[in-house]
Amino acid sequence: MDEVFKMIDYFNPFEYEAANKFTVDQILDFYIEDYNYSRFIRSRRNIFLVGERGTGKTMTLLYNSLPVQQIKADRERRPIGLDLICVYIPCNTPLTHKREYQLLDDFPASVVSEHFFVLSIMHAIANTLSKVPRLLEDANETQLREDLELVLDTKLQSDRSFFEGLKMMLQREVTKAQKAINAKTADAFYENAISFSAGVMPLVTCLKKIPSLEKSHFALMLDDAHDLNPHQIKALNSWIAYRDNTIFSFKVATTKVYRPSFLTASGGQILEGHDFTMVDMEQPYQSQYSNFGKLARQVVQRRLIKIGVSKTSEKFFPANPNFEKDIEASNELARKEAERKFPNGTPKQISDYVYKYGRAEYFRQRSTRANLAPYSGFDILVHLSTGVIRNLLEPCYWMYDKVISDKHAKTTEFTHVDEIPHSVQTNVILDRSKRKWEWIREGLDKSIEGCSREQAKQLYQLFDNLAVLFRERLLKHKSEPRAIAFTISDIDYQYYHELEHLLEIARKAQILYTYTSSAKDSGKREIYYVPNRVLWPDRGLDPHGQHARVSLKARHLWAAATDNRKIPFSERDEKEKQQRGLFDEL
Amino acid sequence: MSYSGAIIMVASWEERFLFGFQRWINQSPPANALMYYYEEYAKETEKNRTQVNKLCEQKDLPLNEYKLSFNDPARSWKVLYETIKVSEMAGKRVTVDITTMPRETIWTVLDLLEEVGARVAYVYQKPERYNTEWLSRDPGRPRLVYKLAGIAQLGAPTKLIILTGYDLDRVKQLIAFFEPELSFLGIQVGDQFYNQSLNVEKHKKEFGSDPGVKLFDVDAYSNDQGFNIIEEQIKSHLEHSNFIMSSLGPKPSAVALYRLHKLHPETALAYAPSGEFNPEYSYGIGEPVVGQL
Repeated sequence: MDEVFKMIDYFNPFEYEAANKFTVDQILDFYIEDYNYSRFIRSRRNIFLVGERGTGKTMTLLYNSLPVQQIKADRERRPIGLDLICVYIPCNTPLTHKREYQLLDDFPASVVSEHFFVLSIMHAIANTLSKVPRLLEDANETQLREDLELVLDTKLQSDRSFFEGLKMMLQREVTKAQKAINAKTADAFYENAISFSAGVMPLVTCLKKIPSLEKSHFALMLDDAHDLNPHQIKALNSWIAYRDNTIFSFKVATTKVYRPSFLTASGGQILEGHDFTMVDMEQPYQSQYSNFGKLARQVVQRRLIKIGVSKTSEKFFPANPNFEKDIEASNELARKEAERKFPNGTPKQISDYVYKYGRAEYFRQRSTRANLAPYSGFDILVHLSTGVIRNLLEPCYWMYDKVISDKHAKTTEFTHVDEIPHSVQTNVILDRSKRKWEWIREGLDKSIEGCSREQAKQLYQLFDNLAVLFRERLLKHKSEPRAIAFTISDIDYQYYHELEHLLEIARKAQILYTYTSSAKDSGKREIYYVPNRVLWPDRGLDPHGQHARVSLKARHLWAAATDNRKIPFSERDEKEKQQRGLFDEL
Repeated sequence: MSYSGAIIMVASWEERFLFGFQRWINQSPPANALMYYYEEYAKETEKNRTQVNKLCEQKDLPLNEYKLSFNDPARSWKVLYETIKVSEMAGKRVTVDITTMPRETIWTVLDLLEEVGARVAYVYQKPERYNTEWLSRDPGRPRLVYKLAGIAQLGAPTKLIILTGYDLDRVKQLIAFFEPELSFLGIQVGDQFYNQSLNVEKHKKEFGSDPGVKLFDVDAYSNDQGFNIIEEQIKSHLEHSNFIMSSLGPKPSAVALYRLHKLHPETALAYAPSGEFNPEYSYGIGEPVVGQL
């Protein structure tokens, strides 16, 4: 069957590949502008876009890049505006990964590193502008060429167009520099290195002599900036610290865990708020009404349009009707309980009670039966994603794949998919949940950088014990049974740093996400730790979390990880935290 | 099998390291020997290194021993550079025992030897069998090899060649790290050392229907270590792509990739380090594989 299936070419609309593998058309088709971060990209501020893999950083940058916006303008039959030139600059490249600088002393290492970085930026600018038709129409190209050759002390090939000649010159330069540092000596260096102020700034100043670009602002969008070497990061921070954002600004996409330092080359530091704005791409998903919930709906809707399905996301991924019926029945039971407890209760009090205990009641009733809940429905999928778009698309991809595969088992003619049966959803969800646990148990130390076998075992024990705790709370807790996020207290504990390091590995592995929120009782910001909700179906937990978090002591978490000790449970938390309103954003 | 000139090796706790050296020293003693060892495994390799020292003393064979470090690759490169430079190997025959040599070291040693004008041969001692439970774990960050990281083209897509071994997770790690536009996986043919189940079937199942991955068969034990087949796969892509190449399969495949890099110096060699190797990595010693650069 697999052989037959491989021969069938079909389009899976839920492709969850990295965005840099998408075509321009796919980027335009799939990107949702309303709930993403375009407004930050299109500002003149320096921005750090921070989020783990799959949160949409690359997609956001690529969508806003000039070549994609050019195609968008063509589709909409309007001219492209050139007030803002968004230049996409990938940092995960073989050039960035070159490590010969490590053989050099600090100063020459920083010079060579900046040289490669600057050439990459200049090439990206030239490449981006080369895609704008008729850009040089009103320009004095001869003068432009002469000016550029003068400021960069170079010659452009006269038989090539301006931008092609510029790109070729830059390639020639980067080739010379690489050949120099590839020489088989320990101190191989390149004498003619250029800095940002000798390369990028004069280039941009020259380009602004093109009439169409006279008022343009250049947004230099660096993707995967965590791949830059330490010297390049310091150089970038120094440029950010420059803070005259008239002509250019930086939009820097980086992961949270590997987020680069904010130190500059001179030993100073760039400051959030002052030098840049930080945008956290990881959105805690709390309800269908939250921004992420709306975004998720639109993302899937767009994908369905591509396969000619006009159904809503909810209808394409219908929940098991018995599941819905039973949840509703449990909510009704909770409502009656609430009305009994609060005879004069306000509608909010009643609805809050139902929210807290309705679903928990469902899972409490299930606890006496052996089988797991029939997890299904679009709402469940969105909760399982834990606020990460790729985590939403991945199970959808495998569900669609399974339906196609099953259809072809019955007939070799391709048939239209207009729904994912709830049984398929349940099977895929449970399978992916089980695989995730298997991966934590068997695969973490084989695939996550810096994770030893011992740490992999500790992480499995930690998450296993968290699952046990959350399950016990679900079945017995008096006030917040469905809390599946936690904060950490007792940070003076002697092994707190070791625990933090373990949690950092968990974040690298994306089995744990974090976001900050305000601590109601102290007014400070505290870190919420949210285990990847895909873990919970295998353990019979409700991935539909609650607006609450459990405060856990560092010592208990450490003991759970290292000694496999159960995390203490009590039916009431020490401090009953004031619960947020149902649809409040965190 | 005969060797002359110098021998260069990296000490290991594996039996085939010592047995292999004993073979040489008895059959055709080299003129001198350079033995490197990694400080992170100094204790594990001590017994074998002591034996090598004794054998060299008995045979009146000059032996120089140098320390390298997995955690300090820059210092290790400089040690290799300095020690090979002063070893006066220009024009001389040198045999590199790649059996227990990490691939990054293989590539660096071959490169530095060719730079000083040595005439390089290599030998690889197969084991009787490998541990079937695990070989290595705790993956480190993949890295390009010093001075062998090629000449990158600005704005060109990245493509990846991996010659696979038993470690599927390591292949996934490399693909996830470099995010190539296209990956070529060369899968070793044959059923030696449970290759079918541990390598072929696993990788075909994982990547067989992945449009971003092209699979091809390769034989690291063939006369050219698979060089021609690998080059055939990639040559139409070379002009407009940045190629990164990594070897996870039989060690002779590392030689093929080295030769490919030399022919196409714009390509980059990449190493995927491991934090931990199984103390029972392999057992016994099998037939040697020898070749010339």
